[in-house]
Amino acid sequence: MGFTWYFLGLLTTGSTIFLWHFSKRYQLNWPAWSGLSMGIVLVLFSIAWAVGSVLEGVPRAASMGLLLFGFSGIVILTLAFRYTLTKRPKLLEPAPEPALTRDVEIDAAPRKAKSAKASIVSPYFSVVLRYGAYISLIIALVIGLSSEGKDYEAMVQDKFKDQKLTKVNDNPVVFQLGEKGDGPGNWVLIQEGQGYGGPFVLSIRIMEDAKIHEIIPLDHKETPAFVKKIEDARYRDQFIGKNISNDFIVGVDINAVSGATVTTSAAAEAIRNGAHLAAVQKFKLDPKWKKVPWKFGLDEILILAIFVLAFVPKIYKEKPRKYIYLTATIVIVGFYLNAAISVGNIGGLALGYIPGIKDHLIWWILVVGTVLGIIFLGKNVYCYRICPFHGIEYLLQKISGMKLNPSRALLKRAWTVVNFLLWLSLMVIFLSKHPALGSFEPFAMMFSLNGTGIQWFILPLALIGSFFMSTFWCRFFCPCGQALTKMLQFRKSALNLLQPKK
Amino acid sequence: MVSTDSGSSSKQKSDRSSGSSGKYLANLLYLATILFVLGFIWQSIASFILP
Repeated sequence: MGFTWYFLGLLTTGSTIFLWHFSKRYQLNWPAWSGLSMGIVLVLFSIAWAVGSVLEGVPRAASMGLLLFGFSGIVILTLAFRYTLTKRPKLLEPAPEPALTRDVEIDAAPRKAKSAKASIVSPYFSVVLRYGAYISLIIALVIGLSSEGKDYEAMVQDKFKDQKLTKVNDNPVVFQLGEKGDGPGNWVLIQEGQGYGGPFVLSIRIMEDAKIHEIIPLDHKETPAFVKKIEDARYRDQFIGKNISNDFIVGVDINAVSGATVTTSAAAEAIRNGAHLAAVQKFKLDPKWKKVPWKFGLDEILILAIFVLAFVPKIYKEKPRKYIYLTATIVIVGFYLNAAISVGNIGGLALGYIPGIKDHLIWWILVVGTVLGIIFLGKNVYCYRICPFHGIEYLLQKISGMKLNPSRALLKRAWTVVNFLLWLSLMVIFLSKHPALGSFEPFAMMFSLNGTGIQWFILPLALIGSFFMSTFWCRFFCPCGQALTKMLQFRKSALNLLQPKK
Repeated sequence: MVSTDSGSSSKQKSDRSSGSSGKYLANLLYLATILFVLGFIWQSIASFILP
């Protein structure tokens, strides 16, 4: 901690000296002074906050501090600089600094040499690497698909240690608690639901009174942010004490959790299937409950409108409409529905994690619609149109007005790096059969402010990076964008192969 | 890196050249993000392998 204070002292002194020098060059008025001072104070405060939080073991607080104070400070500082440099008169002309030879060389270098796609390895090795990556991904997918799931019987037995457990049905798995034939109830049913990121498994305990008494989550491969959201909202509690012949339909007798609608619908579907199975098979009740209707409300209409408008160039290319559309994607796809596509969705699709279309139309429109758009139209409408994180990046760029770039050496390797990150992420997803484990994008976290561990530091870095560099995350890191680009490339190659050679 | 149609792999506009301090800042942000992304994946692998 002592070092932190020492470091902060150095930064404060440096900032003060810089301000003094700056005020000698430009005639600062009160808005410029306020902006510069406030920006510096906020940035310094955020550093102190973040370091203190990390030392206390609260990474979430560190991330929030960096976002709220640090990021606001950077924005205010940039605006103050832009204002001063463009609106305020210069007091004296500084002597021109000699250009660094290296910079001159880099800027004078032809654009082609700057290409991020330039290969850093020999062409032969590059081909071996590429095909090796594809083959390893196929092997990982086969291993993942053929691996056995968890032993749910042992997990249920662990929950009810003092009671005898007898399996009475295989598909779906149903256990009888106590001696077999002891009354009609006391069933424990294992049910699976398909969430936005992946499946989850619940055990539902139904007792002699034909009511749900307990819902125990056994396993989940859903995006952690959504799971946390429904757990925080105590979503499961509303099912306890309900009769098994209830409808269990979100929006009818079950309340949704805002920002995790797909997860809530999937959980309700799993519980409904279990309860109704028990009602028919064990309690011999007549199925009088409502049929699940197509979920086509305001949310679905909004997403459909955004998706369709993404194909209309006029909407996206003309200025006032473009900003309205971008804001709509950020607010609706991002903050309201938290439905941004991640590499987890694409990996999950390969693993067969496909939620039902009736309940999860939003997922189908965005994920399946984007993939079909690529296959049939050769257009990736998601990345630079619908993606809410890209919208945020674009607006940050507009605020900063800066377009920095990493050095040429890093740019040359950027294409390889993003491919490697995509490969690594898909390998983790396929081998673990857990889409959220490989999905390192900060999207779900950005729009729900729920995340895990190191993810808390990726979000502020992605935002600060996007402030200084044009589409920083999309260009250099996004595995989802890279996967969609690969699909476009496959399509192009397939079309080239199919076309008759002249 | 991300393209919007099958005809091009990158549609980024030519970036304004930045000074050396700008490059250092960009490099720092780029490398730090790679580090944390790899850290996240490492954390995921560890949580999958370890019970």
